[in-house]
Amino acid sequence: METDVLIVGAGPSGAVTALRLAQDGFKVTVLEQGDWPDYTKANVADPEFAVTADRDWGWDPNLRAAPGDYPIDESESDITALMWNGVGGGTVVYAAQWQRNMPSDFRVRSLDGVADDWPFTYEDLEPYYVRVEKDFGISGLAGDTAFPPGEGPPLPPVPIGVMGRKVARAHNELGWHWWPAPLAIATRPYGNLNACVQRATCLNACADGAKASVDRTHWPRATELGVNLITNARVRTLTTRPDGLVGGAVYLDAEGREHEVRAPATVLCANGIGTPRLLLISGLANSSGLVGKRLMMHPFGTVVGLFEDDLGSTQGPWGQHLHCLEFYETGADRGFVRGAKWGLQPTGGPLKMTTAYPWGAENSIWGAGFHDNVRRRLGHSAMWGIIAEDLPEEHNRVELDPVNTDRQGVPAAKIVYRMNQNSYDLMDFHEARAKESLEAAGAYETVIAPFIRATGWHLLGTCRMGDDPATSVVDGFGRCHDVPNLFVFDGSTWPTSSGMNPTATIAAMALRSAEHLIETRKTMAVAA
Amino acid sequence: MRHLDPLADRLIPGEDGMPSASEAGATGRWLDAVLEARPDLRAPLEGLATSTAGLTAEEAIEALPERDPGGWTALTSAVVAAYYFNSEVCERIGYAGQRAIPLGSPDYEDLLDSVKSRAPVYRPTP
Repeated sequence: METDVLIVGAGPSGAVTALRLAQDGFKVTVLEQGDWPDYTKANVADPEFAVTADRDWGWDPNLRAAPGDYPIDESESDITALMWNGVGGGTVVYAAQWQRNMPSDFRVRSLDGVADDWPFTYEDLEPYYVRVEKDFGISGLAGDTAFPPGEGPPLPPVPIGVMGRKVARAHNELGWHWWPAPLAIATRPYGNLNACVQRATCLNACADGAKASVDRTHWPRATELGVNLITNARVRTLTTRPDGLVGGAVYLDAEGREHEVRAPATVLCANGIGTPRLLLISGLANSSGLVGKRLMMHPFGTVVGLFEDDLGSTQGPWGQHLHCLEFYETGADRGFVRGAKWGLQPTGGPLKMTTAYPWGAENSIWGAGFHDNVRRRLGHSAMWGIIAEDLPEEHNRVELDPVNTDRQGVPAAKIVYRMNQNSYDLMDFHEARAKESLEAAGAYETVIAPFIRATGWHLLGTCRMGDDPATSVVDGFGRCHDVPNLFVFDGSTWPTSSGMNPTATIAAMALRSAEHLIETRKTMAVAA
Repeated sequence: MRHLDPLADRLIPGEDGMPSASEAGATGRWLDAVLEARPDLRAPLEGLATSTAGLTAEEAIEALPERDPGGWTALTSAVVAAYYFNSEVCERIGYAGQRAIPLGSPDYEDLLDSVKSRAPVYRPTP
């Protein structure tokens, strides 16, 4: 099979890239190891969903073990890597918290003396943020004082609700930042999206069609433009031509039959584990030795507050009602660098009132007092979700599993990841401040949730971008230094992790890089 | 699975005007409904008969998280889910399920002036 551009992976970066290339007339083929999401399994209005959601829409590929998944050995990792291997990628199960990076995220070395600067600035990326926000149907409000002035998203924000108003008032009294939440959740009908109806199932698929997952926002348009999206197609290896350029890929279909796609250019959009896995399997683009290194996964914290008033928090966008970036930037006297973003979230239905997370084993609900505790928590609790920036360290990495393979014999992945003291100190500080926030908002009791492993939604940094081929894998437009017709457009390229949910920036970068690929196609070295 | 009754009632006792787990059908018809949706939970629940043999319900609840973590997880998820499958139980705690609730009107505008009056919280970069 011949194509102009081969894309591996049908998540957000693959979708943005495919659509943009197709709009410019490119013949595009996409290989996706999983399948389309089956929303008939997202019976969100039925009680059964409370027990089927984690099975059918879970985040952990090792537990899910779906045909499109591959095993990940996490025995040497503090955090479990989470992903959705199928059309839509992580956007199928993300919380849709649409956070731009802040300007300092692109200048970490210059401002804080650690890690690295990015090869471009917030200002370079800002026009692409604006455009992808229109493509995704983002809701939110311009004028957020945590960002430079500029155009906001196309849809108004979700209401902040009873809990949001309590916290907003408290932050106004404390002098702390807050702002209505930016979300990839439609507040009005928009394109293929319906308006949100607040079932709070965002993290386990949105059957109501309100969440901007790219299986709804991008792939229908891309395939209408002729993109050939092949599902259940597991790449076994990238192919290399005698001249050293990449020639495309060999993939296995669901029956294990081998096929080859030949393309002048190949773009990897397989996430921060899948992309280095493919490069390591194929022995490509690694003269720097950095493929798979510098894995960042965003340690995650949660603080819950209990309130006398009914907050209506069994439902709502989940999602977030508002965000706080008061402590996002480095504070001189805190003893650590960088910061975290907080998102104010509902807490869900009665089952979620009984679990060890976020309530903690010391607050076990079983036995005498069970019903009283359910009543105190149900609808009367709100929680801050805290996304912490973790710094890049080469010992945190993705490797090929030396023993295990996926179900079709392709080497599996192994991750090695240890949180460092900066992350621990950062999290302790932020959890303490989040507790103060909820107390100021009127919480009569707060709970700092126990640390849990299963929070590695954000897989970043494993094919670092930079200007120097000796210290980076790709350039500022995702082009591999070693193989100039091979590109990485997913979160693997991030030099630092920011403290934000990454999809907004992944999408904006994919659009920017795709347009650079288009602009430079005539001078690009291509496979014979 | 009536062998679950003592364990389930230890977890969810009858008090505060609420039925116990077994009284609410959480080890009977509603558990059957849970297991229809999640047949994979049946084996670990059946295994509790062995892993709790000879223990009182109190002793079993204390020991299960370490002795039989799979059974413990199945018990605490399936029985609690079954309990809240009972609509009368949900009514008594004022829970109407995950309903479709249209988004309301903007409710933040009166609170924004304070934020705008404060200095931006980002560091400008070149």
